[in-house]
Amino acid sequence: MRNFMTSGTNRWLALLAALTVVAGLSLADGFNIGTNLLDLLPTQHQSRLQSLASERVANEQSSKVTIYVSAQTEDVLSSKIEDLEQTIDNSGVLFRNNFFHDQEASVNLYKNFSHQFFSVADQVILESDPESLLNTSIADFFNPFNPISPEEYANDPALLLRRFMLSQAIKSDYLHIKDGRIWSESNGNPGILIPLNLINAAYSLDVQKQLIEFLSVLRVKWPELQFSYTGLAIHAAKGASRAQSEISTIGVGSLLGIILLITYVFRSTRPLVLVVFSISLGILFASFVTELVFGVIHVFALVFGACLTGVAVDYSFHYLTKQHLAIPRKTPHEILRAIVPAITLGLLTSVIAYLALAVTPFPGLQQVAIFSVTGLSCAFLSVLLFYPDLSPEPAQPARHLFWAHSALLGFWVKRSLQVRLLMTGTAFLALLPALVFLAPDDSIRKLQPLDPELVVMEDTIRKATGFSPSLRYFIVEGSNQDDVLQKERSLISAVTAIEPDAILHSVSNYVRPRAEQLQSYSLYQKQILPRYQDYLSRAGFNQAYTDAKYSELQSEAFRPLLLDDWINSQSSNNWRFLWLENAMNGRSASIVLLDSRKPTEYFSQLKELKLVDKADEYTKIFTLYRERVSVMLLIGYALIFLLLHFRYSWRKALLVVSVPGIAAATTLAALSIFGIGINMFHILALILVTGIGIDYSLFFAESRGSPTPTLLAIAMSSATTLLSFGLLALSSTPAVQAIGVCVCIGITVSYLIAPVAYAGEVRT
Amino acid sequence: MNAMLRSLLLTTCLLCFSSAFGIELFVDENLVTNISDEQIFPDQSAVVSGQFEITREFSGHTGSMKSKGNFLVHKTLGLSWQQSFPFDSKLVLTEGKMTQSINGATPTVMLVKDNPMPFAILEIFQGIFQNGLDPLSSNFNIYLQREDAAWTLGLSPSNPMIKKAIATITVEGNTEIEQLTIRDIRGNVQNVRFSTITHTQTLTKEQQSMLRL
Repeated sequence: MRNFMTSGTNRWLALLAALTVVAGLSLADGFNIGTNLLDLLPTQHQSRLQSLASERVANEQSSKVTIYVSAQTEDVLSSKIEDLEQTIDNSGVLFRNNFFHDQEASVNLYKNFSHQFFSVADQVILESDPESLLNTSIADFFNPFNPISPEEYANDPALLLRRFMLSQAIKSDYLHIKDGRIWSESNGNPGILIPLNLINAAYSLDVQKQLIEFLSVLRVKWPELQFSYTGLAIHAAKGASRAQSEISTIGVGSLLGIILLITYVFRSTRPLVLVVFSISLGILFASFVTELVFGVIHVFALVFGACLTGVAVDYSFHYLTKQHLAIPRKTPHEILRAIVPAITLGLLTSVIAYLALAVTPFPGLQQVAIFSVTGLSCAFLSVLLFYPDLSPEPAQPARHLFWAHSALLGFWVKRSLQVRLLMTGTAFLALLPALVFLAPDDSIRKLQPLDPELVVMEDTIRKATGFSPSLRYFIVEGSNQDDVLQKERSLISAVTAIEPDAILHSVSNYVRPRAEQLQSYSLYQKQILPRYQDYLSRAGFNQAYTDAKYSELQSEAFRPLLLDDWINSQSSNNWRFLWLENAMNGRSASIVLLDSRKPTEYFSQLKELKLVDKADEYTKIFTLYRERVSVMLLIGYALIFLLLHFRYSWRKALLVVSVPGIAAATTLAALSIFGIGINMFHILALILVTGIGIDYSLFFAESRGSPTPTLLAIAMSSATTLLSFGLLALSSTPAVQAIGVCVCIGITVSYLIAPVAYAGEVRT
Repeated sequence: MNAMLRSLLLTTCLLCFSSAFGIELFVDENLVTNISDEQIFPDQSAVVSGQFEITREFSGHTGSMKSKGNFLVHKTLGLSWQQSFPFDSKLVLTEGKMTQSINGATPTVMLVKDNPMPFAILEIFQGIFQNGLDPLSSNFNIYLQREDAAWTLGLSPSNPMIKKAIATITVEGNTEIEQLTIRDIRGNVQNVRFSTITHTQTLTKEQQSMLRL
């Protein structure tokens, strides 16, 4: 083996260089990063229909951006607005929602069906007192201030279609239209609301970045205007950039610390280069393999996978400390041989822990598993294959760190295995009461804190418009289009029966079921047509025209407005997404959006009509992930114990496992004592703690001779891990903070109790 | 924000109706003098009242409409339009609100933010009689032609909402306002003739009640 490695290193290096180039090129070519949280759900968790609906609503919401711009005076605003609109049109990021155009299309669509679409109120009056409708309408026709065209009147003397379209509208006390723009003055100052759509998919990090840049350009260009904006894409972008900037701020600090630490201890920069080499190799190949397997890397896997560097450095440090503290001096290959059992076991146990994740049906966890296993293996192989040649014998021994004190070793190793077992067992029992009170908290609202500036802006817009975006909806399913429309109608009456203030957005608002259209048509034939000629002549139409028009209307056969007519019309631009055509084996389905102040639970009284709450859905994903990862972590512990049992006595195997075990239990107990609800990110951090903690105890368990190099290795490892991931505890992003807190506690405890697994003689 | 868009329907669809039922005409802008703060009636009487007679020719020779009644314009309070032929109906336009009632039935109300057009026309009356023409420029391009005492005021909408329905509004007069012509974008012409006009500074009791509904 020795000869093979020595002679073969050049060839290995060449192969590595080639592979690195391939991996690097393929990643640079199109590194596919996903940010959509819903991608993390297992496919069988939702029905195809549910996931289609959820995707539709998410896409719809994420493609919308609203800008509200206000100024001290209307004149200031009026003088700038055209310029502003032009800038938006030329942005290449956003386009304006042409609601005027859609509205015209609506009128054009319905005008051929004016005798079968009535408002609810008109439907009632039409049954009992059609004359009153006709009288109001003829007065409207005579009103010189709001001229109704003779064409419209002759077509519809009860003005039913006009009122139907007005009834479609939700009355807003806040908004009015002027100069083709939407004005609001409800915040004191005059403002204009600009509804926008993103040109490209909102889940691309590039698009999010462009959007944020564009919005800040607006604020710089027009300092005299106040801008507020809202949209899921902006939230996502802000959240990502905040987490990124925090991590990089914390990262720069910790990087400096790590560089100083390594160069101080080893009195040379070469070990630093080696450590960086192993980690970069790990991350590069891990990204490459993950993308190869899944076609995409979710940002979740990337972030968590990157944490494995904390584990990967263990192998490097173990080699380096052994080499720098070896008395008498040893050749690189002797060093390697001395540490191979420990780091191999370390790798195997970590692989076991991660592979447990790979067998879950959750794509996010599978990615984390593949990423971590590849990354760790690469870091392991880099030590095995390259360190002996790249790390010549050191000129000077390593410096000691004051916290890598022999007293720590002494505390544990002077006691017998039985006593140590008893002590760890007692520690574990002492932690139990706190663990009992552990409470989960998976709320997405807490995990994804909203940017305070955006919250203020959103509030401004809510005050200006009186609306907030709806993330709750029902799914309606039926055997055909008409069946779905009918079911939508009954759903709407069921919901408004228990919550009259609810506003429901549905396709059947625009296309009534066939039966209803026919009923309206018959009512029109019965109540309006017999009075038609009378009212037309009263309105001043001449006899010839009236008669011609009458016979035309009389001979008109019933023809329903079909769903396809609406879908194909521009008038459905804003609502087409509600229709889920052929969602399931030719069956039809649709989404009915709900706008209501009532909480989701309130609608559970509707029994079989299930309200889907987007925010709840995310929370459910987190709950599911937390539970699965917890179970997998426990299974991982069991598997690690089994593996170790082959090599050690059960007592010693138990001691080795107890190091990460107690570290994890202490972390959870601390969270419980401080009343912090645990979520998926805490548990994921515990996997990291487990992977690192087991390394520490294995390095001691495999230590032959003086344990001092091992102590220095884990002191280095824990110091770098605390500097990198522990500092994340300072983050204000809860998910990042959760990982940081757990790593801090878990690694500190692991470091303190790791010598418990040491089996050799100790000379103090 | 979809809910918001749906609420806009109320405002926009009224005017969309106008353009959807017919052919568009080009705007007649043959009027000359561009004015800024001219005053047609310098006495600025607070109250102007009289009688009106509307004739409306439907395009395509399908018929015509005639109505008669009394009107009143107040400098600040608004306008009352009482039709007595061919049937009784009352219309009151006050600050931001249009109220209409037929044969004493429950009045219907429309707000300026829902439909700016009636209020733009109220502004024209108040501009001619009392407030000067300057305020009109927010909704219209204005042209004024004078020949001795005779004057013609031409207005073409600049507000895109009004533009969708109305091509031009022309008001003609001499020592008194004589007629107002609204030409819509489909070629329908509505002509309002005024007669027996009085100018006063205060409202009588009867006039006060005209402005209430």
